[in-house]
Amino acid sequence: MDGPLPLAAALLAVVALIGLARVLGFVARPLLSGPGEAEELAQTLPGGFISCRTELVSDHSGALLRDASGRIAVVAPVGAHFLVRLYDGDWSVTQAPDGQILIAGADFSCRFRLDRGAQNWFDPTDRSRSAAA
Amino acid sequence: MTHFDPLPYAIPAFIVLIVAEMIWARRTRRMQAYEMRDTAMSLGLGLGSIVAGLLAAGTIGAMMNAVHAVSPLRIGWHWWAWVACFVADDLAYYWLHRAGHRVRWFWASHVNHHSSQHYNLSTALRQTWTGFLALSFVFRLPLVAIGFEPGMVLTCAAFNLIYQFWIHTEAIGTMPRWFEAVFNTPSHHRVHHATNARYLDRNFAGTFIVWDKLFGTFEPEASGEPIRYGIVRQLGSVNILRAAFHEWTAMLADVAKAPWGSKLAYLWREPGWSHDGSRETSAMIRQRLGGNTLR
Repeated sequence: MDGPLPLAAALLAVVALIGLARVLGFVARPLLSGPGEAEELAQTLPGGFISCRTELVSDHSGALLRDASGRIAVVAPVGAHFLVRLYDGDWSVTQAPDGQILIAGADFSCRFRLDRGAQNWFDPTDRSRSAAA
Repeated sequence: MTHFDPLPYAIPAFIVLIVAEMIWARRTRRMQAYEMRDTAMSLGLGLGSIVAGLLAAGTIGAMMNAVHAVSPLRIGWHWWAWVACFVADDLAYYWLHRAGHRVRWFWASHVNHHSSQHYNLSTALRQTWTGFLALSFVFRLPLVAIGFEPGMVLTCAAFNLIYQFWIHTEAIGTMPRWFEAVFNTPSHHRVHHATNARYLDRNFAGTFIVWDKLFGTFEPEASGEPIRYGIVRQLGSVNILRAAFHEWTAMLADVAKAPWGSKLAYLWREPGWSHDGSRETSAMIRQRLGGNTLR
């Protein structure tokens, strides 16, 4: 590939393909089928994770889970799929005026609406317990 | 150095096939097959890898020429040399690729190819920007040392890369049995991109799947087990710079924090290794969740 022209053409093709992906509707947010799917995803965390409490967010686009030792995991959408992260005590968790909670970790962030609010999940007791786990 | 690069000629075909796969996914309502931002990331990384390749090409070519010049062996440009070179290059690629998964230094370069949770033809173009930095080309130096022409090796390597484009798809189930037995296929390569425990570190082949069968790393795709694609700790970001460099920064941070006796091990041990056992390697995951251990 010599010169700038082929590279410019490739760049144009990239933009066109991204546009086509949008036109064809490949922008959907994934939805969890139920708590079981969230629990299955959480089991892929290093060392495993057996949930004893699972709460899907209101629109099923994520979940929060807690295991018997008090560790908290979050299942969050990324693209058309999900990722799982273990609460390491360093996340920023804030509640927006509209009731949504914003979770920002070192390498991910998500925005959820929980039916029962975020306080049950991220109070100072939980934080210390998770950090110690 | 005489060197024909077929890659630019293949790019129009890549584009047409991606469009065809998108339309297939839309028509069959497989709306999780593509995601716009993921596609943008894959194509952006592909474009960046072309630029990185252009920048490194001169140096790599010079090194291959230098090794070839000191070698007393000459195979020449015979037709059969092309066949032999393609097979030998594919064997070199197998070991390069296996090292890319089993040695963290090389994994830092290769990981971005696996960082998509989607599996489609655009994923094939999600190529590394740091292959030269990782010194991946050293795996091909033995080929010129035993007498293959450097230009022939580079051309064969490019054809190998082109071959691997079409196997990044869910649109094809399995190929005829004889083909599956010899060649790398979409089915074999889906296994390679999976994070399911039984599939971790399997099917490293480029063109010929026989290498995996020969060296004990082959795993067939099981029917009825949904595949999860990506990496064990999913990237979770659509930042292209993070995708390209995240494992390099993580690895160097680990080296900085590690005790003196363990620093180098963070470079040459397998991904997931830690000096205090606090993380999981693929072998540990397989042991925990089931599946055969890598021989």
